Amino acid sequence: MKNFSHKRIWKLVKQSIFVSAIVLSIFLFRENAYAQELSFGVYPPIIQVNANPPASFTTPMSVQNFSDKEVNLAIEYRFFKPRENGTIELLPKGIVEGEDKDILKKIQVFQGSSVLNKITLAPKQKKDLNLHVGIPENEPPADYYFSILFVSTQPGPGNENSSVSSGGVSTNVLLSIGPKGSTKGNISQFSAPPFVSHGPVPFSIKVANKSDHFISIKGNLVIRNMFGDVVGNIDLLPVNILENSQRIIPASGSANITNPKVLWNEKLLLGFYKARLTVSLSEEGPVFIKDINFFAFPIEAILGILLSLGIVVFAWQRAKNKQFGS
Amino acid sequence: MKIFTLASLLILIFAGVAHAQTMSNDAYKIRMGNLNSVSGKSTGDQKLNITVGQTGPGLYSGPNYKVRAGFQYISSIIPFRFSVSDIAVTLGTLTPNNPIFRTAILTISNQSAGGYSVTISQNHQLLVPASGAIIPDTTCDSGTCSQTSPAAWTSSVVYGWGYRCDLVSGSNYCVSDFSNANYYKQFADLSKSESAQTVMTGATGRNQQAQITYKVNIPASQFAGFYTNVVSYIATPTY
Repeated sequence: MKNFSHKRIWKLVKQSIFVSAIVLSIFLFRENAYAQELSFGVYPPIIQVNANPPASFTTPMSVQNFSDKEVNLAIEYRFFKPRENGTIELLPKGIVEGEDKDILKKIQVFQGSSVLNKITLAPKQKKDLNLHVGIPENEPPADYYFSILFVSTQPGPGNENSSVSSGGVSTNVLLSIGPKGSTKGNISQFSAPPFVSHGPVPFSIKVANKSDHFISIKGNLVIRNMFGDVVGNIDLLPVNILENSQRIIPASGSANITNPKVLWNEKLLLGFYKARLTVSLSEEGPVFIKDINFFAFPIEAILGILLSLGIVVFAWQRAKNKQFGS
Repeated sequence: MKIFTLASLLILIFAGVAHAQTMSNDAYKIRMGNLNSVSGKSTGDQKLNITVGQTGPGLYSGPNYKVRAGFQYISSIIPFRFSVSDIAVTLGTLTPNNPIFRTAILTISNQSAGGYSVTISQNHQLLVPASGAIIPDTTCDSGTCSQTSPAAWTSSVVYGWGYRCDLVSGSNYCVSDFSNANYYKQFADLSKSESAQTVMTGATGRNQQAQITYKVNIPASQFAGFYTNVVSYIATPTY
């Protein structure tokens, strides 16, 4: 009887663990669901085009509805201005920046063979689209930077005080129509604190593009100690810099979008250091090199050690004096 | 047996949908998951970034053109995704000197771009379409807040319509305008040609959230009616 009740208890325990595991996994892996949620996405987030006239091509993109409700999206084209940290400022509808004021007539979003200016997505539905660009032979060289926006259109509730939410996501398009002029620019900022007591050491790097086309830079930061040994080597993110603009250059994994820095994550530093920044504005150059120096002294650590030593010496001296006194 | 049935039911309800890639001819049919893998690794001094998957990313080229879809240094093909928790924010019955607060959660999943920003604007002030009566944008306690400048709004006899942004959990993705817990701003009003304002920014990541608090307060002299407008959120990736 005793064995029978132990068996029964053990069986109940196993069943409870099994059910708990199922329920726990559901709670861990579920996504939050909100009433009447608006949720959709687009891929790719950026399309970069270099073309010489005449050129005609399509490139795929997709838009997906992640909510449980049908969504109606209007497709808009909005030009933008770049900010130095890589974010964009959308210009008002109807503004066309660039040489050809009719450039948007040469760009269309297709589904199959139909040009779209709006799209309806059923719950959880994804639609594959194509962006078509047709550049005629006589198109003048110029760059155009615009976003393809997918903006929800929702009717209001009507008979109550309310604010209806409309959401939009975008794909940024960088369109450069050649032939391109020469690539020009410079390192407009390269600095670090002249004195640091510990790492990480933040470097501020800004590159200016003075060309008439967008560029994608490549670069790295090499840090040597006072003995000439390489103690740090950081690759810069190969970001785009639009024509006649500047951009703050981050390193891979930079989490600060407001004011990106390149961080050298070495913690313990001592002595003079030299940092060399090498930046190439394109695969064909030009290449720019800039050096800065900084000095590191772990003043807080040294003070901490001296303070601890002082306390030890003081305590030892007191103990000694007491011993002699007694 | 009952436990087993219940567990199976739960699995069936919450199981995700799996898509298969199918190859077949008259003799066979092979089904497998999406083919998204390569083997081998790059060697040598130059780093070769290998990217495969559906719908880009990649470099496409032809006569007179080169197109790159996606960022060369980000291999993910996960969509740039934006969510707003509530399509309609109902304000309920408005009574004088009784501020109403409502919230909405903005969520960004950005694993295919280096960063993003979200802007906020309204098509017009809260308005009764039939009569044209409005609840104006707040100017806050000091009378100085605008769509670009925040200020404290705590008094129950200061009226209007405004918003603020707060962190939900973990990192704060709201712009620094709202570091003071009592600060509010006006919505940028597109009918007055005001530019949409950045409310949220972040780098690459998943499920980055911010909470928008809407606040409205009316005087006793406010005209009766149903006040509505549209608040627009636009999420754009970095370039």
